[in-house]
Amino acid sequence: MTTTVTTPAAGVPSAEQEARPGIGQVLRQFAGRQYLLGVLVVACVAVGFARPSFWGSGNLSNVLFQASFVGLAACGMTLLIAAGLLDLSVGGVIAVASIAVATVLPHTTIGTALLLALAIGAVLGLVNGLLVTYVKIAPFIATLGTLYLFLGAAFIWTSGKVVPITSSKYRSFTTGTVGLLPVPFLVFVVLAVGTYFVLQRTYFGRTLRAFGSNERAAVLAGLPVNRAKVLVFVVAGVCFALAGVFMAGRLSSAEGNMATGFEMDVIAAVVVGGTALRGGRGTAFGTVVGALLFAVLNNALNLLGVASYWQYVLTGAVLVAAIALGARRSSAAEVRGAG
Amino acid sequence: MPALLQVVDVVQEYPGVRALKGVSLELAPGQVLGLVGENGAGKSTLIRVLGGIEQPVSGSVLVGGTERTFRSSAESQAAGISVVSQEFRLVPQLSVADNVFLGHELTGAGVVDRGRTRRRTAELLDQLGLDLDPDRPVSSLTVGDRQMVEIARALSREFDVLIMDEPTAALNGAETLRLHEIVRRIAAQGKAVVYVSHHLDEIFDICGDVAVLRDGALVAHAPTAELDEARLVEHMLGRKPQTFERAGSTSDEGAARLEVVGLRVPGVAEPFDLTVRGGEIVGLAGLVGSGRTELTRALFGDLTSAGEIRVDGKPVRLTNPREAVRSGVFMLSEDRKGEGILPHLDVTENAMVSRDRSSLPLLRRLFPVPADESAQFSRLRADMRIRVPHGRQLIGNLSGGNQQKVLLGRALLSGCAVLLLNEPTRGVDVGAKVDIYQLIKQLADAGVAVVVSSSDAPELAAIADRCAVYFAGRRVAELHGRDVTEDNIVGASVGQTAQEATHV
Repeated sequence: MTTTVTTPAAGVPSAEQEARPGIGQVLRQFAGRQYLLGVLVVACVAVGFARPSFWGSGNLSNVLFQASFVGLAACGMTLLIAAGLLDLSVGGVIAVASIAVATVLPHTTIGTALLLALAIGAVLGLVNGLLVTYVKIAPFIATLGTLYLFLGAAFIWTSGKVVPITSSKYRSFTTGTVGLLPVPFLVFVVLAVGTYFVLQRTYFGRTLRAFGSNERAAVLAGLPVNRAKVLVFVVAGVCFALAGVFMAGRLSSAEGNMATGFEMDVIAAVVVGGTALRGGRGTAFGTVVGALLFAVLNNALNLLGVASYWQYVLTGAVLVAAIALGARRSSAAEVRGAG
Repeated sequence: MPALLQVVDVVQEYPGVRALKGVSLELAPGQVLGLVGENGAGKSTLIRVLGGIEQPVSGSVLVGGTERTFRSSAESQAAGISVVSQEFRLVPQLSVADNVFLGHELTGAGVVDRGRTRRRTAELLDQLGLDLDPDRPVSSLTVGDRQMVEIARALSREFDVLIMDEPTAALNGAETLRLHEIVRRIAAQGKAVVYVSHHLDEIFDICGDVAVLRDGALVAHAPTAELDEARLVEHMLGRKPQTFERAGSTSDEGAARLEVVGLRVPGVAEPFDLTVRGGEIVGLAGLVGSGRTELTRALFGDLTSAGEIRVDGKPVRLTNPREAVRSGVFMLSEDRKGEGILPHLDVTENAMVSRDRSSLPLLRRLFPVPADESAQFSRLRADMRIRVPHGRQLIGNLSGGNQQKVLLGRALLSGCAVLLLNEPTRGVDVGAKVDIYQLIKQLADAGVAVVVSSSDAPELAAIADRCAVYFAGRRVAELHGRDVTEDNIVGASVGQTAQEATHV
């Protein structure tokens, strides 16, 4: 057996410079992470070739409307999921808030009705937050329960009837456009920027990501975990109500069934966007792309005349493929214990 | 003699890290090779490559002269490599016997042969000198026994090369000796053993040769007879080891920062009294289960307790960790991974989460200002010698020692008056250990009252000014100044009371 003792290189451990990731690296990372944006662009171009009517302004604004409803709610959901939480009561919150708007509109101003809707969203979110934080019910179960509670309340309130919105001002406000862009889409963009800011640039957002990442460690670090949990449900409730405000305007009415099943669209947009369901990380930009991607996909399938049952199959396949791809990509850079 | 196993120029990379920079090794039949190096030197990576858990970027592995590629751990096992991993891979709900033969069940006609499984397991356990019922569920075993089951599992397979990654970390003295005996017997049968350990005395005990990894490269490979411990440590660190000198000045004049009177903690037999002055480091010693962990948890509000606690003279009621942090008490858990780090957050955020913001300008109190925080972190990194390329690095990618330094930085920024540390250097390598002792000392010198709870007696002997020893929930001794020695601490922790120490 050979016996070699190689002498260690000069004794000083390598000096650690201020090694910041360079601009090029940051850009590459961004490009690597935003493969979904690439998919979205390719999808738009491809559909545009197959059906030039896709780029018609009427159709485009249609897509943007659809993306906005999901996207507004998805902003709140992004915060929740980054914190390792979940809210399934989206459809219930939307129904109650919209019905309230439709009911009071004949008697008050638009502003008051909007405020009322947001306040209802906040209160219903508070209910969820208290149940999860202090009654300690798992978010999945707690909000599944409140989904039925809220829906039940909505049906009882309206006796199962559709409440029409008669105010044409309200309709033109919520369905209006600025240039080519619908009002709800602009609100969605503003809310998404706000979500990014909250998540990445506030102590509240840091607390959310911290307990989404490791709740026990966050508690032991002295972070206000309980307070943040309740608050994030309240914020999410407001986002859902905001989505309801615009949906009711688009439908010119409100009813208990207006958003059943909507929570799954919202969660799908968030998760496809790249926010990890296990918590710890969230991306508002990804959520915007995710919401747009689903809207474009639905629209494309309609334009291409795909039969509606097959639309389900294709939408599901895209969802699974996007998440599988995302999982593959992120596992390569996943946190690993150092050797 | 043909080599049983050859590793030729193996390179492994992770995003941003070159974990192995071309490592070559050879193992002859009957050889016991010690593999040492600091945490992060690449030992575990090499083992993962050999175990088929990871595929190297380049380089090759030869078994008995033929090149092999392992795409999974099953393929590595089939080639005759058996690995005892550092982390347990047992299924707690299954019995000992089922765990030992998990993945290569003894079957007859396609059905698991329970009788034979049980008999073979009993034989293996007997070989290990272990008196265990093969039918017991693993969840009911102590950590030491689990480690032995893990070893039995490795031995149950056909193998030519046995790789053991820190097998004795959870074993007591007698079990360790028995394991060494087994390693020698395996070598005598003409098989080869790779033995990884942080305990250098073990390496000198049982290994014929030793290989040293540093920063992913093989820096030394020699018969152990040609080396001594000091030389070996020098190879591992790439420099002369620093020794930690306790400054003799135990100032008696500092004001009491933590006063605990008659604190009753569930699970601890006696009410607890303790006074710690600023600048003082007080050790809590005792075996696992002696109650010292519960005490630190109670002082941090993580465990309900009754009694009087004063911080800087002010009575405080600690009912949860948040209140404790706000009252000036901070604790680091012994479970760094489960209760310390926030794995998805970068090192800067991990260091900043508990920062005391009350004296910051308004804007920084309301919002984290990135420029300010990265400046803070740069200072920490320099002061604490945290080895990390940049502040945006995720904390999960750092070695144990560097993670602990970040967490100490977190404690420092919390502006705490009292710092409670549990097993501050568990899983930390030799080099970083001394750094961490120095940091603890610096914190104390800055006026913090430090309480260190540790099962590592040499550690307490090195850093504590005073040391209270617990046994089964009772304080059995309090050692002062010169009396804080390894022998006194160990003696008192096992319930031996014939000490020249001050009894309480």
